[in-house]
Amino acid sequence: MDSSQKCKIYNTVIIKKDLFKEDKIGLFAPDGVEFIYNVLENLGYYKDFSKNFTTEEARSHGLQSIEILCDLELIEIFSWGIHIPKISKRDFSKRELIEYLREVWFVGASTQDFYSMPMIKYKDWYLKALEEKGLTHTTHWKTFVKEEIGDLEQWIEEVRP
Amino acid sequence: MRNNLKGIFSVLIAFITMLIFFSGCEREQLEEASSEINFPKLEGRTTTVKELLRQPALRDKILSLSSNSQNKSTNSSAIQIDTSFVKIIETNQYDSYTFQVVQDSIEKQFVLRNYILTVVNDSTYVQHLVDYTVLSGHAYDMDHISLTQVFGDDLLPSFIKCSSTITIPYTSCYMVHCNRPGQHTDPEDLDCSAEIRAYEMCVTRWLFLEAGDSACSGGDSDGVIDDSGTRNSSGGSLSDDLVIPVEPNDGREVRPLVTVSDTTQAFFNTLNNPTEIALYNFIQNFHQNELRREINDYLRSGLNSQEAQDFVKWLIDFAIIKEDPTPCGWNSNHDCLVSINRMAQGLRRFHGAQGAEVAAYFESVLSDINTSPSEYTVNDIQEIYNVALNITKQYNSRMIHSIVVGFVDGVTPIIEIALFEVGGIIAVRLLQRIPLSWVLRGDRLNNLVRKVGLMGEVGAQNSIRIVKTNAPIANSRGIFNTLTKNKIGNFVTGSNGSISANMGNGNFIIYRPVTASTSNFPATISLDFRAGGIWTQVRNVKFITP
Repeated sequence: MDSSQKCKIYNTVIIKKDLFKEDKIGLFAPDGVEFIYNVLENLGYYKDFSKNFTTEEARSHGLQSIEILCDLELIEIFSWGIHIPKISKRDFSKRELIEYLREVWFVGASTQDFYSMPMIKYKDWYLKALEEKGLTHTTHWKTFVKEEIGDLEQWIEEVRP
Repeated sequence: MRNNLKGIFSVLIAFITMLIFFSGCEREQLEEASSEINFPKLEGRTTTVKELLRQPALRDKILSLSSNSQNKSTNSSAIQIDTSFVKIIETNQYDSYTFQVVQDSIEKQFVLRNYILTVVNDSTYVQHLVDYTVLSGHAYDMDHISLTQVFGDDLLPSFIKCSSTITIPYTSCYMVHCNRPGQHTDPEDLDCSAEIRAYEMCVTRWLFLEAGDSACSGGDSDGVIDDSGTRNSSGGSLSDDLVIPVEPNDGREVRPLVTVSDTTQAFFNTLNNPTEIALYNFIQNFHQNELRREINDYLRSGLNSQEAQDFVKWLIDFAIIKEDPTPCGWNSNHDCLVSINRMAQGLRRFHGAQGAEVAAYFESVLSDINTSPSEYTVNDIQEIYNVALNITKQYNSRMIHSIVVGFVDGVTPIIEIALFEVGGIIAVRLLQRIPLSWVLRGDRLNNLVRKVGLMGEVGAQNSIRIVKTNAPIANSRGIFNTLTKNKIGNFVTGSNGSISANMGNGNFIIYRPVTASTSNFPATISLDFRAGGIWTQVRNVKFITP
């Protein structure tokens, strides 16, 4: 079952193309997925008060996005948080990870709760490729993507080892 | 006229010879003797460059020197003059025009440089550069003036062209007139108010004697070096000797002292004693007219008690500190740590409980510096000094304007100064020292958090700030500890090493010594103040080594 089928009950479904749109491109910044709340922030939650980030829909959107990042083989787990599963931080199956996240990410979780949940990081090859392209800590991400990379989705495929 | 000048020169040469002979002569004797000389009658005024540009003879010279094309980088000896304020000295023999030379801000702290163009007989131009060493309180060291004759448009100094000069000091006075009520001779001087009409201005001048140019000409003293740098022995030539009084032009006009009440003046006069003479000299200077007005209002408000008079002494003492242009330095004459300590004493003495709190804060910072001096650069000290100065200034200003003891809130400006005017490493250090009362929950904490969330530089996204500091973990933890002094309950430590503090009303501050973004952010403070309405997103302040 793919993510689009799984989430049909909600008004919107996150697909890969959505994540590369300008309003969500912050997700691909080096800090864009650090905590679960960072993922939600980059999906437009928090900024938009009408989008409640504690709902099941928000969780579904977050998990769909993480799935897509898994498909792109861009992310790994930096730390598991309070509950440590028997899953490798790097060599996990997407199914394993999403099931685990669904387990620890309960509906109604607050920002404070997210601090005790898994921390995600981008893989080193991606971070290194960005650095080689000229990204620094103080480079404005959206401008960098627009001016230095262009089509981020395509560029990721080009630099993927 | 030429004979007259020769006569003057002869008298002066004789005088100088005596001076050399009696090398032990005191300065008072010298001034007394020089006052016997019959100097040309002086008249002084100020003007704008517009007036001067109407004179064709001056126009080209002024335009060439005030032009931006005169660039120091292209000609090391070139200068650029500031034409916004020109001082004119007029005699029956010559007119001299004194301009400020454009200087960078650092140089201006130490020396005031003027350019003097003297026009003799409307035809011969003599140029000088004058340097005045800057003292405190807008004063200049009139005993050690550096005066250099310069030549031509390239303004080569005299030691290249060979010229001998002799200078001796004297004082003279002249009237500054108003041509109609409430106006000086310069109708564009908007500062001229009806209360300041014609007045006598007495200034210390320097007599400049140029003994021809015999050093260059081998004794031929009939001609002079004119503006083009060539010898001019034709009509309109200058005599062998020239008497040029100089007066510093720092862009401010000399004005009379603001009159204060008899009571206030009587109080000022009590300062005229050996231990407080510095305060007396400072406040009896027209540059301090604004302070004189403020003190007068303060003392006339019914607070002329001993306490009020002591406060006024502190105000003058602080103004002296404030106007000391000498930068801080371990080896300079300005020991800024001593000055900060003086400010602390004043704050504790005159500014109630909050003043005492700020004083303790200053002393805490001083203690840190004295304990670990090697951790502070001269620039760090200068920045801390500037912060202390600004904070104290605000307290004094509030005191004088409110004319009551105590303040509504002294926290906001302190924080703003610490974080915005200083920034960087020193802001971090100053922040770590602030007392609990400045980070109470509620508006005070929100205000501080708002500033902390603007520290450093913006990161990849607007919700991220990057602060570069040599000790990122220690400094970020120090700030976290400071901000969370008034947290609710205990810290909550997460499995990833994060430490969370509940600041009430749904606001949280989280410190974590790890990052998942890249490996080189040793520490992050997350400010979750969405409930406080400060930011819609969690603000992440990441600390990193430079």
